[in-house]
Amino acid sequence: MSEALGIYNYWIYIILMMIGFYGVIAKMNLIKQAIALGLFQTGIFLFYISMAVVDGGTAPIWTTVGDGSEKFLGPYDNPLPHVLILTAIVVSVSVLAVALALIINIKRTYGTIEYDEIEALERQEGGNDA
Amino acid sequence: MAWNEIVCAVLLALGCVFSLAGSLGLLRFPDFYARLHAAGKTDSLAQALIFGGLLFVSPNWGVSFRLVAIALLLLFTAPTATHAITKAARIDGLPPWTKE
Amino acid sequence: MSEVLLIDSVLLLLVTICAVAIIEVRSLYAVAMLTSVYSLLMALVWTNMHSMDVAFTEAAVGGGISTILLIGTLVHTRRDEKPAKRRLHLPALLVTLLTGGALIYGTFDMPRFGDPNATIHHYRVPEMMAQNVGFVAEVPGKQTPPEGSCRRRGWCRRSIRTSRRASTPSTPSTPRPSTPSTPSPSTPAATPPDDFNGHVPNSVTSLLAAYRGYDTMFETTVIFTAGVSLIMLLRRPRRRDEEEDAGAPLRGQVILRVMTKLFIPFILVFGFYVITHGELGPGGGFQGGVILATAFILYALIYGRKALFRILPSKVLDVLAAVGVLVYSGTGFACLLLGGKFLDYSVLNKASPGDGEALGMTLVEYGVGITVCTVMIIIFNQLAEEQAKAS
Repeated sequence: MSEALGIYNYWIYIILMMIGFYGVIAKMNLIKQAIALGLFQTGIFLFYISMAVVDGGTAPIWTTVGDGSEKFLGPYDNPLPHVLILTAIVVSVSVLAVALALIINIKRTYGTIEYDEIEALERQEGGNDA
Repeated sequence: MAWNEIVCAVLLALGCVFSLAGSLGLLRFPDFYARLHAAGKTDSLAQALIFGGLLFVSPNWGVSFRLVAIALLLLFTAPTATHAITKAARIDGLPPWTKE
Repeated sequence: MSEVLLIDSVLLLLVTICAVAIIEVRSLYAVAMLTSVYSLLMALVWTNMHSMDVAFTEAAVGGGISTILLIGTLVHTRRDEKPAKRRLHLPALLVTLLTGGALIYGTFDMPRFGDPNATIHHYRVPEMMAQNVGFVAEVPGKQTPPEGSCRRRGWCRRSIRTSRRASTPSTPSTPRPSTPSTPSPSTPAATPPDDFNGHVPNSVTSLLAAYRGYDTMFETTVIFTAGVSLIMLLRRPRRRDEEEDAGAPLRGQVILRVMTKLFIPFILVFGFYVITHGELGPGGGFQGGVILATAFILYALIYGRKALFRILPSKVLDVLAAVGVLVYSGTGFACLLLGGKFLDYSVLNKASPGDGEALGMTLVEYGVGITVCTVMIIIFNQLAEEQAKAS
């Protein structure tokens, strides 16, 4: 039971990543694609944070107990993945913002944000040129 | 079990009951305004009960102060948010539900 | 089975349902709300895994800023996704199933969740933590090893040994201090090597600003670049009169106006607290910057962007975004000028290197905070400007 639950977390991260992956491939709406990319990223974040957990560990803030005579609260989770993901989350919102700005420009140019409609418009224009 | 833990447990359980009632109302009430009413009202009381319960087991004054601050923040912001959502729906022209 | 896993399994189930809903729901407004819910659930998951800083960031960024950005975009694109011809995209499903299967096959080799003997907790980590402190012996410019530093080094090794021992079932009940072979962790020398003599107890911040200082500097630059790209993509030459009618304030919303006025000072104080308090507890430049930005965005939403421009003209915002990066790299150069290495904060205070480290980290966090805050406001402004033109 414990063994099966031991890799449960990793399975969820794969499932989340694959939901995002499916969204990126299958959805034609560009905003939906940007959000699906975010889901994919969150899957990876989950993977990293899951790796940092130690049995019985606490948050990696060195806390002293009592009068500060350096008695530590015991095993800590690994702080390094936390640092990686902390910055990655803020970068992911920047990525989202740039994607949204591009989508707005696409809407301005083509009047639609559906991928297949844009493709149809492109083909039409190409046909007119030839 | 110390007396403060018992008080804490009772208050937490009460908070959970109110929270559950709110969720039930959210699912069962007929229209948008009624649902929001259920969720907003019960949540304000539920969070007050839960933070009040936690107050009894807080280890020091710092934690107590933080708990009171969070409870006050929620007490002010949650009804404001409910009000804003309702007003937005009203301006958007969503008619309230009437019994025919 | 630990309680972490128990709560985790419930939360992750909710997260997965939420993710499926995000992909399947067609109303894009509902999707924006669902992503906000998804982020809050994720913040709970991070808290459950004791990753407070990440939870903080996720709640502020995912629950707050990205929802505003999404809604700001939806206003002038479209409300609904076009109905798909087929419900299920078969090639995509096949590809995802194959990839997912391969990845799941890979997980069977992974160490168990929470295993203290996993490689990630041992390979290089103890050395890394010792380095991070700044008393690597015989390196010029670094802090001289304080008394008993060899014992400090021993802390890392001991912590591993004790965690190993705690994990082995043969001696589970042995209390750590009573083992005679290792000095008891309650002796004064047993400080963790990267808390800078108690100045920086939050190891996430000390790793962020010291061990991975270069990386964080360029992450800040990435955010700055995102702000610049938004300006390049969306800002158009603006006539003077256009800035005048930028965004009308909400009239007749007395409750909202009063509550906003009441809460903005508290939000600002909290934001500065989070930035300044970053090395003592959860928090830091990224989270605090986002919280500060929400105060300004709230002000712009309720009182109109004209009022925001009155206190923060867009020229000032553009300059401030660069100033944040400059504060970060400037701190690094200050360390160079004082005879240390780039971003080696211990030279900032020769008398007490621990204080110097804490000072350097606070400066760096403020740099990050300024950039993050202003870039978030710039992004919001650009999206809202678009909106004002569309209407």
